[in-house]
Amino acid sequence: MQETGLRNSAYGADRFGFKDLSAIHWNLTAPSLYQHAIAAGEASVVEGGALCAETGVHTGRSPKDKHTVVDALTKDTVWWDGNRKITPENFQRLYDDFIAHARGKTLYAQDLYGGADPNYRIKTRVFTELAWHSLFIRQLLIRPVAPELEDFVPELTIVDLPSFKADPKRYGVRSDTIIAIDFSKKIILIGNSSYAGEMKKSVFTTLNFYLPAQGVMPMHCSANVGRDGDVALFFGLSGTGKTTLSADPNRTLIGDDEHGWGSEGVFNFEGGCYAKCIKMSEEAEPKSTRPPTASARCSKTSPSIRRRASRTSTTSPRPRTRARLIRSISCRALRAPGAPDTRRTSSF
Amino acid sequence: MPRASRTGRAGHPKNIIFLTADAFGVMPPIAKLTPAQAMYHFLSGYTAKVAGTEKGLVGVQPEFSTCFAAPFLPRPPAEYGNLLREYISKHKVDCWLVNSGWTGGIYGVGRRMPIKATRALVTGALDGSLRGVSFRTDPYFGFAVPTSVPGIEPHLLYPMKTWKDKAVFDQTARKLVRMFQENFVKYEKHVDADVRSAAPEVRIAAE
Repeated sequence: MQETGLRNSAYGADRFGFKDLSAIHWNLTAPSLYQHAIAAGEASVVEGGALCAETGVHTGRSPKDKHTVVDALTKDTVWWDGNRKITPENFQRLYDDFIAHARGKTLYAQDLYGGADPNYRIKTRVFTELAWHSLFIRQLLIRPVAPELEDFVPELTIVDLPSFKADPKRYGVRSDTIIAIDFSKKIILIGNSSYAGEMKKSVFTTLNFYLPAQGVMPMHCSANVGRDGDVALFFGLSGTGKTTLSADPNRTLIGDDEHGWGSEGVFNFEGGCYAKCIKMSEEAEPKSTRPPTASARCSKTSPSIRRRASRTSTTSPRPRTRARLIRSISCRALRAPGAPDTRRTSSF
Repeated sequence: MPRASRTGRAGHPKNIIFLTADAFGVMPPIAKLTPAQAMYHFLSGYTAKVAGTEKGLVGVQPEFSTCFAAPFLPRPPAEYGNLLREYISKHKVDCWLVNSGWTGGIYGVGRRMPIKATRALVTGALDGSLRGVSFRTDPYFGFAVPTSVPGIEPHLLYPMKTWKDKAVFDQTARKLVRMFQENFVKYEKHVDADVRSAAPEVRIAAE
């Protein structure tokens, strides 16, 4: 098996159970992932330097296909009115089939943190089949510094295989798309969706399970801080202005989507920003498509992408299924302190 | 991104803002919430979305997403609600509701809430200047709404005044209040009496 990239050689893919992979690329930086994604025909570079990939039929998350393992840990702690179940036996079968499906494949692995507070962050290893998914999650979560990668041992492992189609009967699940979460083993398996946001929100879901037990309030909100240190949180569903209103020229953005609130204060779960571009238009989201500040531009799009996005939504004869990975250079100011700065080497 | 935090960390919040894009156009641009009202609106997680129909007509649908995060909550909603409530009380956080959606009519009739007004009101909430203005109690939702704020069109703060047809406003607001109440039934057992009593309740007689 070919292996490239910086990694903890004492804790490789075999520790998760992978066998006979063709290759595994560890912690590749943005320029390398661009090259892999383009070489594999996954994506193309568009004006402004963003990488543009097709997500296929899944242009959003599949919440109804998310299943949580019911066991001694979760039986009485999970809100089963709002979460679907999968048995430990069916999860094991799914895991075995993921391992079998990965044989002979090239995978990408990223070792990252979910959570900016060292006391509460979760060490997360994400195996993906697609290079652009690896780039996505690398941009979204918090990157360790190089020496931390050399002895990185994950607590949470996510395996993301869009080419894996689940047989619903075999696992007792709803459809051929699957997001299966085992909080006891700290494993998340994602199959048959190319929507990269599943990975990000899987980490969020995991933190939402573990942090309250440590007295930390996990929150779906944006956050910023004023000059005198006063912090503001903005809760709201999609399209209500979380990103737009937290991007304030007089205040410093902490993050635009997920935060924790603990005894020391608030902390971002992520290191980057994310926005869906599908059908983005002035009419649907007047605020977020306006260019009010430099910071808002980060999570949204460059003017060129914006034009493309709205044109796609208004002139296409059928629903288009594009989602774009927005990778503007300015976005990467939202990275972990001391994280490798790839700005100079990654401009396209 | 010049104004992004390097550390991703900061102190305890001083203000919490619940954002809603009210496509019914009946909520005020900003309201001050009591801690119990904050819990009520946090658990409700309300916004409204615009749904197209096959005939090309447009319908407004309420969307209630527990804790503004329903798809991502493994634990029972009240656990998050109670934890947030403790933090809000411990750090004496001011809570606000902001309608960044529509005013002057339902979606399609009214207009989008001016972004300048939203930004000015949020700024006023965060810098403390809204503390000095006088408030009235909203007759439908029960929260406190500023009566006038320098630089904000006076009518915007009285949603009914922005509607041409006051009777239709009244019907629409009552409808939304009922939607809130129906949605909250499932939480009633799990929250304290003061949160239950923070539910919107129409305080004026029907016309």
